[in-house]
Amino acid sequence: MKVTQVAAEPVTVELVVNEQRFERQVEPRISLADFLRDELRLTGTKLGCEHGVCGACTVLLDGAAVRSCLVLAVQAIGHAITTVEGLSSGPKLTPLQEAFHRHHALQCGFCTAGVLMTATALLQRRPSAGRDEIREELSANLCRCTGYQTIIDAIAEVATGDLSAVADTPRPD
Amino acid sequence: MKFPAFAYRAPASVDEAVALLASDPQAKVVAGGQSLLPLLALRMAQPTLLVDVSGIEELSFIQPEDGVVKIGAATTLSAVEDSDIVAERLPLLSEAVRNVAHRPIRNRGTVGGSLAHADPAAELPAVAVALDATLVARGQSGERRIDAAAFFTGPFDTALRDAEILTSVELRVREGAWAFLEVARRSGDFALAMAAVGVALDGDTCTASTVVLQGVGPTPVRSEAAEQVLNGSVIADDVAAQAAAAATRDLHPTGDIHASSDYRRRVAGTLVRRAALEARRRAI
Amino acid sequence: MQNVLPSLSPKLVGARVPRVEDARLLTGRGCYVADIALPGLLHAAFVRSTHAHGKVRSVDVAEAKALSGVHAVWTGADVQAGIPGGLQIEGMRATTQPCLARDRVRYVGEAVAVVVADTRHIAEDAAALVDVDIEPLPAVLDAEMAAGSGAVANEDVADNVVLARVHEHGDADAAFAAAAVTVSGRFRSCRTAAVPMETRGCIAQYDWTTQHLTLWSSTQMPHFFRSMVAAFIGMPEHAVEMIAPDVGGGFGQKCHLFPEELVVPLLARELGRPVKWIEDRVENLMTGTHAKEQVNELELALDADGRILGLRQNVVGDGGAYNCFPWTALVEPMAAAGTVTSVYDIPSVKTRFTAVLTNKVPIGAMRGIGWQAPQIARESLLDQAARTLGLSPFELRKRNVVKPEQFPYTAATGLRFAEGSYLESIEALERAIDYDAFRERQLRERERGRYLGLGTSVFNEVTGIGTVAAYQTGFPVTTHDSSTVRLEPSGKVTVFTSLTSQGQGHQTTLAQVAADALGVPLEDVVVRAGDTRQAYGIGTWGSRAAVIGSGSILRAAEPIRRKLLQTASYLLEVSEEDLVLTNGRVEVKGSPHKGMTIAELAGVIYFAAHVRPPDLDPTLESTAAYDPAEEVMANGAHAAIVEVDTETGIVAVERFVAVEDCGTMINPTIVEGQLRGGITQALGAALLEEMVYDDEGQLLTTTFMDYLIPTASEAPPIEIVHIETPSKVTAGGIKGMGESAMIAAPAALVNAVNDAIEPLGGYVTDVPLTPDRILAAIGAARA
Repeated sequence: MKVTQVAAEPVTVELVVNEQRFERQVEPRISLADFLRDELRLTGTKLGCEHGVCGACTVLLDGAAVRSCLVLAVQAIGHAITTVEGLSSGPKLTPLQEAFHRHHALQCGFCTAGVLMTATALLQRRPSAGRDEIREELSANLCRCTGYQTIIDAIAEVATGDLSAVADTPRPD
Repeated sequence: MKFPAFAYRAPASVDEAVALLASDPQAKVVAGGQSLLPLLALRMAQPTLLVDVSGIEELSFIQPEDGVVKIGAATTLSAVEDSDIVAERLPLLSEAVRNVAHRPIRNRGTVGGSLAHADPAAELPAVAVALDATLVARGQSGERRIDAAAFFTGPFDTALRDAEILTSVELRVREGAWAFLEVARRSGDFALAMAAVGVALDGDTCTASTVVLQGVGPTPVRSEAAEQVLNGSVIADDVAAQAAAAATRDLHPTGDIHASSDYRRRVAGTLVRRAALEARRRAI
Repeated sequence: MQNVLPSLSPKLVGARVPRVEDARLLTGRGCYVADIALPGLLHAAFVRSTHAHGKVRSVDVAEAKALSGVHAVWTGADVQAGIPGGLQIEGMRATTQPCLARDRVRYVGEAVAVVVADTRHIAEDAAALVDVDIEPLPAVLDAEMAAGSGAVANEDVADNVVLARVHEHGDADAAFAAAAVTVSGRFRSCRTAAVPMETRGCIAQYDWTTQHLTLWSSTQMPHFFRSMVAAFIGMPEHAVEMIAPDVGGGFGQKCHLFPEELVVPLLARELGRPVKWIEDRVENLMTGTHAKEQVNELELALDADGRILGLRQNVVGDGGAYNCFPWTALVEPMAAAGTVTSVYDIPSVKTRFTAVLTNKVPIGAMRGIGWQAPQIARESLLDQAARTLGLSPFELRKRNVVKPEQFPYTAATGLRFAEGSYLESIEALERAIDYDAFRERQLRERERGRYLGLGTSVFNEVTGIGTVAAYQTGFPVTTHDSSTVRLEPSGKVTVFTSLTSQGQGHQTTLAQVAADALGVPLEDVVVRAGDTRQAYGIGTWGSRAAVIGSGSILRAAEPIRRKLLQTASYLLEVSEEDLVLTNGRVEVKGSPHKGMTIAELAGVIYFAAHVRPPDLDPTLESTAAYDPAEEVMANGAHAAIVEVDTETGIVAVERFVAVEDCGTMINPTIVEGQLRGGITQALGAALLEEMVYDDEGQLLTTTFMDYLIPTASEAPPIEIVHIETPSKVTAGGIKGMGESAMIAAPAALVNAVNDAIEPLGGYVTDVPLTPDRILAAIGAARA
């Protein structure tokens, strides 16, 4: 298919990422995922499919899990984004991350950021989510390595209602 | 799979959005983007301008009124999923919306987007038909009200005109009970077949029913033949089976790599039968 | 001798040590190829054929070149390099895949041109402007029909047959003539793909001042491919370096050298700027190697007691348009014939395999390679035979597996088994399943209209593949692997190994081995891999890393052990035989307070010439190779209990039990992770995944909406039972197991579904068992 040259003026994107304010000029066609990875060099968020199925690109937008490959950077103007880099506020793992470590809930690590973000959003919404609910919600993230069981085990262990186990960064409202 | 270049506007009002669409025949509406952006990623669509309506406040609401619930077109599917109003008054929608993809998609995807996209395997068009919805659109010639039965005109095709956008949908509050069933290869996938059956009972007898199938034709299918079987009957196994046969008798679904035509037709019948029995159980 | 191993005193080996890799990956600090940024980096996008077969009439790049931000557009005329595909096997036909198609395209997705631009976005825009004019040729799409006649898929192979071979042992025909029962079937395994979550990609950077090329590649075999890249693009090997950074899964797909990996360095050298290529998912599904496409016609001959007298097999493998590099189109069909008797004592076999080229994506290695398809066929026939003879599936198998007293055993295929727990694993599985109780429940549920099924799959697996095993399975390749162990001046240990990881946790498991080899705590060891400046090796595939890694580390550690003991003996004036390395010290056996720390000894050896033994060479870095002397066979037994909704064809897996014997386990948690992931992947193979080509050779399954891999909702509950029968030849008796689930589990699932629908007369032999196929099988039986 031929591409007609489109006048796509760069747009100023101002937003908050992991509690820090950023401003960049990007073309409208730049996805939030590419914005985070290329403009802000937050490469923890991964691209696994770029059509919204695999979930590796999952971030939080105003606390809700979204596929950052299916959000335009310009659509995130004025919003607050949390990426995997923003889960822990200091040089230590959060209890959710610790649980993943203890349960061997990651192998190659490529899906892990997206899984953590989906899990974080779930637990912030439903702090005492049961295994079935966790399994259902985590179906949003594809993993080829682990078989999912240990991921569910790790999240179930943390689903006790204690929000501080999930992430250090306060949930933006 | 990077998006092709496009210009972008985020109007603050519906009228502004309509004017932008009118100004460029290759412009497209984007709200949640969960259906449009994958098409752009695959370069199956190359709009020159995206008109983003997701920020237009007047398009985001869930409003109960007399006999209906009105939902703004830019209301996210997760807002619908979380809504107590919807759970109480439109239990069919509440149940069906949970089957749409996964939560992160529902956090962005909108009611209007799903209806305007008119995927023949999608849940919301089926619900709109089942609940006798009225879709409200606004374009260059003002506001139009379109019955759901007339809105879906083909696969990914609707009665919307150029430079016309959906602003809201009004779904009828119906008495009785609903059952919603779908069969998919995996959790969250597009349905291979889908059935929504609503029944109202007087004692043990069905007095009114609605039978809608999806994934079995170019648009949602309302089966009056199946409804005629159910109405006036006690919905037992045999009646449910007859309704299923009536519903699928004249269907010619399109087969694809996920399921053949024959499979879709047979399974749609199975789902009608099971949904009829379940709806009846819930209605008692 | 490079396969003689020192003994291992396991302390950390065997323990469920949590992974040392995790913190980086959990906090978004992993560094995969796509994450690497370099000054001046440019981005490549490939233009790909939209025809399955055709003559390239012209490639017009003028409009693409004119696009702002484009630095280069190359076609086949600009790249002379190609990738040869073949093995030193008599009669085998070789192919050469051009890096960019020149006069022919031979599969949809084959690279025809490449664009380099400031951004991937611009590169894709320009790629869309390249005008490729192709005159279509007939597309060869059916391997069985193409074998030996008809249209030619690739002119390098005039009759489309890369190799056909017959193997006979004993007298199979006589066995069938004498049989009381014969069972036969034709089983189709479709095309699937590895689908790692990280797609393929590479970055090349050429420095004109040093004439040195650096490559970063998401690969499983950096050393081997670095050598091959140097050879194929004509650069001196010592000027080329390849780094495998964090790799997001491989599953065998990243064990190939791809044309793109040659084009990118050539571009970088020409443009004088680093060039990055990261494939997107459509490219990965459409042009990354595919796997598994085989048709197995299999027959078993049994006597009245259910003893298998003979096996006949005819397998046709669809190899795609080129021999992939380095495994070739033989990786499916030849492997299928080479191990088909598996754990069973079958005296007579006649196997025939044919590897055929077609106009599709080349078939390559994928977890379980060609062993998965015949496993389905054979285990399915065994269940059929069991039914015919009125035996339980466990009983029939028990009667036929190689018994403990038969080891060492040579199979009719030529494979040799030194030890194994075949009988024991079946018994363990039968206990775990509680077979009689299941059959009762199955009957009860059937009366209520619910269809449950039980399927079993017993297997062994060639692991730790070195030269001997490669040859034994038909691949005449010499493997060369080594590790380097270095004791630092402070007594800490650095290990360099060629066994890179794509999620298997080698940084942890091989550190466990090294720590035990030198008697140091785990935290005193670091394992580094993936850099061709260190520790040459053939790479991670063939379930070999645990075996080859541990063996080479043990051998490399030995001279260091000796020097530590020698120095301590000299300084403590105690005989070496009375000393032991443990807990970071060299101690006198029985008097642990008498000793020196390894740190002290290292300091002496490095820096105290007058204190250390005068004849001691103070080098505390040692590199050693390891190549197992024989086949290292792991084994196990899997069972699945499923429920089939016979009105919708939807399958739910109620329970999955895996009995696994991979010898001494380095880290049981890692082993279980491999099983859980592998079984889930196997569920995809059995029920969901299929690469579908249409009649014109267009691939229809090019996104994740059409190629379906299991999600958390499909993942079955898995119970694991461990048996440990140590290898007699490897370090500490360690065996591999990474592929076991993909070899065995699909067959268990297929058998379970067929067991469920058997009362309705249904029987499915085409994998995946889609809902449509299941309903059709039941419907066909009813008709």
